[in-house]
Amino acid sequence: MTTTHLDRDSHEGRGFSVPLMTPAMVRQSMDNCTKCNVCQVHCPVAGVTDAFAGPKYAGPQAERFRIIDAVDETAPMLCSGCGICTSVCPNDVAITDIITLAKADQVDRAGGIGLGQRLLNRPELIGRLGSLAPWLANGVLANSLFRQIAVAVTGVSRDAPLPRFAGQRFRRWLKHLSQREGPQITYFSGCAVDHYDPDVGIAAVSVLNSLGYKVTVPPDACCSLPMLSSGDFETARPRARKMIELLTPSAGAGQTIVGTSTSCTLTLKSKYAAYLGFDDRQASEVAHAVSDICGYLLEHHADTFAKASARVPKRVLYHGPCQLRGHHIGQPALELLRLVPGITIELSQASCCGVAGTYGYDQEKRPIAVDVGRSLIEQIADSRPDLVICDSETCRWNIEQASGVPCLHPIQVLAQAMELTSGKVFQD
Amino acid sequence: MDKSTAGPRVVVVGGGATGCGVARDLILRGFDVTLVEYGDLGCGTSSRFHGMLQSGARYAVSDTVYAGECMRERRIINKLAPEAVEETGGLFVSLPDDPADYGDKFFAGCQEADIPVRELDPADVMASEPAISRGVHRAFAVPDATVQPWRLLNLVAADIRRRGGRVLLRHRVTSFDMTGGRVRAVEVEGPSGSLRLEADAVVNAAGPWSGEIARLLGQDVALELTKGSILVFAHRLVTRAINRCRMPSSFDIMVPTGTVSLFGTTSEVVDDPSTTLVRPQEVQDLLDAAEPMIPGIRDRRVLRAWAGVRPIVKPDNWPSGRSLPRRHTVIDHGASGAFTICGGSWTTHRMMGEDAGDHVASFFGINRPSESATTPLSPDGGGSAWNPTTNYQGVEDAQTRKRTLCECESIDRDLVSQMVNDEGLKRFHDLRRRLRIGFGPCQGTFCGSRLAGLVAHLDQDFPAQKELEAFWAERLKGATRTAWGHHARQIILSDAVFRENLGIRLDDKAHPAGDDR
Repeated sequence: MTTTHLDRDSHEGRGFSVPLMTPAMVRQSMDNCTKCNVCQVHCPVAGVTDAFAGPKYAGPQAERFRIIDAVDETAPMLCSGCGICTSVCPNDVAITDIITLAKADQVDRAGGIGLGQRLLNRPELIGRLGSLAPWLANGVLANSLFRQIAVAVTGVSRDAPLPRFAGQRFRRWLKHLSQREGPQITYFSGCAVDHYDPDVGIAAVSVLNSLGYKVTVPPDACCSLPMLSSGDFETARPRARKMIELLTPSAGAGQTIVGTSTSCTLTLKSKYAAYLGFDDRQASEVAHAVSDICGYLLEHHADTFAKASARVPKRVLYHGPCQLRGHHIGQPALELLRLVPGITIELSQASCCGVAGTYGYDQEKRPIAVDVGRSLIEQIADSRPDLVICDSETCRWNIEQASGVPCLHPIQVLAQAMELTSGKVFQD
Repeated sequence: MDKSTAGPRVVVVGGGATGCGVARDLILRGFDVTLVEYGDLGCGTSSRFHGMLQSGARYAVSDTVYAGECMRERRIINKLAPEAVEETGGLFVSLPDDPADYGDKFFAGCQEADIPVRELDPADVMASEPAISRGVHRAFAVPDATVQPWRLLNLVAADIRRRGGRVLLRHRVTSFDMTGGRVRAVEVEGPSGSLRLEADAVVNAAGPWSGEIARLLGQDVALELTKGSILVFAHRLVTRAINRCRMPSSFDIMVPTGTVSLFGTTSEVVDDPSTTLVRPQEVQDLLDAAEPMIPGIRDRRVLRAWAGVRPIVKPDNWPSGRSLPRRHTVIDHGASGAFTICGGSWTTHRMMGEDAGDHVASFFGINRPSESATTPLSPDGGGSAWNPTTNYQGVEDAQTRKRTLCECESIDRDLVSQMVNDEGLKRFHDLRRRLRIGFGPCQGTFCGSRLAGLVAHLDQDFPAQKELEAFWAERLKGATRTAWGHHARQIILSDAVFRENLGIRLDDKAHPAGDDR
């Protein structure tokens, strides 16, 4: 199969190239399946429920029928989109993407998605609303009566790990930040940092500043991943295009675009092409400019962290999020953390925490998500680390809620190791 | 007993499309009919073709009369057995290499033959068929369809049985009793020994083996046997049957059928009617020929290659080099009561049966016209249209995913049990042909062992292990010819599953007739 991607050499010092596959290429990859069952065995969802027939069934197998005629099926709907099947496939079948395309077909046939998922798909909108009066919004969300009503109306699980609104704290901090001139880099903050988790963004910008970069932060916008993974492609399409336009000035100027959300960055890197067929020059340029922040730091600044780190005498448990595998960069955060003196790292034995973006927020899927994440939560309960470290936001909220142990982004620990205190690095 | 058993006794030799068409026509005219087939129904030429139910458009220029006959018959078959027909539609596309003037002749020929034809905007055609060449400069839509050969032949056989006829499978004709220069009986040999079938007439409908049967009748029939090889691609690359818009020839057709697509066909004269060997060069020639129609075809997975042998009667004094006529021939072997019917096509098989029926009826002085075009095939008047997604949709509707026996074709375990219990079918190849088990990408790797387990559970005396050995040996035979890339990985994995996990030894002994497709 042929894949289109820009030559990595011509983008030295920029993002890492992940081959761009269009929907047609995604579908064609079904031919590579040898039915070997490796994906079936590794699928976290199929491992805990018979209601999901597994990635082989819902992916390359069912695809042979779907391309013949429209079918009404539930097979793709319980996939969490974690991407583990694709990463373990020995034959390069784009399994998760095949399933997500099928999900979008079913959503289309059903005439759209439900109210709950529509809400979950608008983290930036909800964030903005909540930001108007965070204290009020948080109070309402914490109210159990409200949660009960919300479940009935929206189907969002009452136990879902909803984050607390943080107002526009990251943007306000940014407004007062004065930066020195230096090599330019773009930081894609994403909805999580803009509305719920400002400390991650503050830590990221602080680390980049201290490495000498002048950081550009594009306006607050959502990458549309929740829409894409729930199959609402038509709403996502114009938003994704707008996102590309927002990032084009940076990509066009040869800047790397780093992000702290592994799933958002993966969306920018490869999902716009795989799901929406965006393979034009502008979209490719943005896709190839994007990098996971830890991947970028490991590639270019490992020396700094090796030399200059302060002691962080903490026992941490590192959980690499599922979406990180799609980046094809290993676990760069783990390698950076290992350079920090004083830190003791335990590795998560689980492949997925269960929440998988907005999957674990849905009332119907919540029990599955809890079962998928059980082994991780048990491991945390057994080893009682000071902190859990994870690159993805909904994973962190989920892990923190389920385990009661604070969960941070690796960049927050790295900021601590660089003795940067502009953000609140560790939660009290 | 049915009224039909009162009439003269006719033995029809050959259970392909021709023989089934003849036998049904005769039983509807009141004859006492026995159909004798040496393997399974349609295991020879009748399942070794591209699967087209022709609108006739293919012959619109070369033989307009025949084209019109195809269209008429294609309509009849769809009416009689919609459950064996998929209305895929067909396209004729002009690519840069195709003659510029053929399109107009084609259009006129279709109109003359009463084939509904529509010229399409090439841009629309390329948009709706993303796999085909971007160089289409003219395109025509015609009502081509595909037929599921085994499904249709089993419907015909069931109708024959229902009307009091006999269908003897796995019975080989050993000799004819022609005492006094007339057909007296047919000697056959089957799984439980020899049988003598008393007969007043014989119709030789043995396809490429017609020459051999004719020799047993003491007759000489001059056949030209041409082998055609076909490649099976792992999924549907096109939504409609795609033909090149030029005089019909070899290497020019891609047909979506079942869950796969077929590209064909080679054409070479052979001596042996049983040859099914696909030469390595033929595979390469097919891929080269498909490339202009489906660019990048070599990156697509080919599941297997197989071949069939077409029997064509060579008319006397036929000029050499000119392609032989598509039409069938009925040969009346004098006053003996023996007839041979040969040539023709799947699409016209009913009409061929009618023609043979006319000859036999007139031999006995019976003046009863054919009813095969108007008599429904099934008592309930035919099922709903065949759709290859039916199995998958059924599993999804009933949420019986965990009961799937064949994953590639989405075949429920209960469907198989039912066929074993109700029809007594246990041979893996018979079940495979009826249900399409093992037709998909894994070529029987996972369903094969599940099938062995299921059949062994239902009948503990059945030699399931031995059957599995023959099953994999046969699947492997067709699949290795195209084993490169991901398909090679498949074959290696599959072979490991069979040999290492299941401990089977490859049984490379001769297979029962016709099982290698």
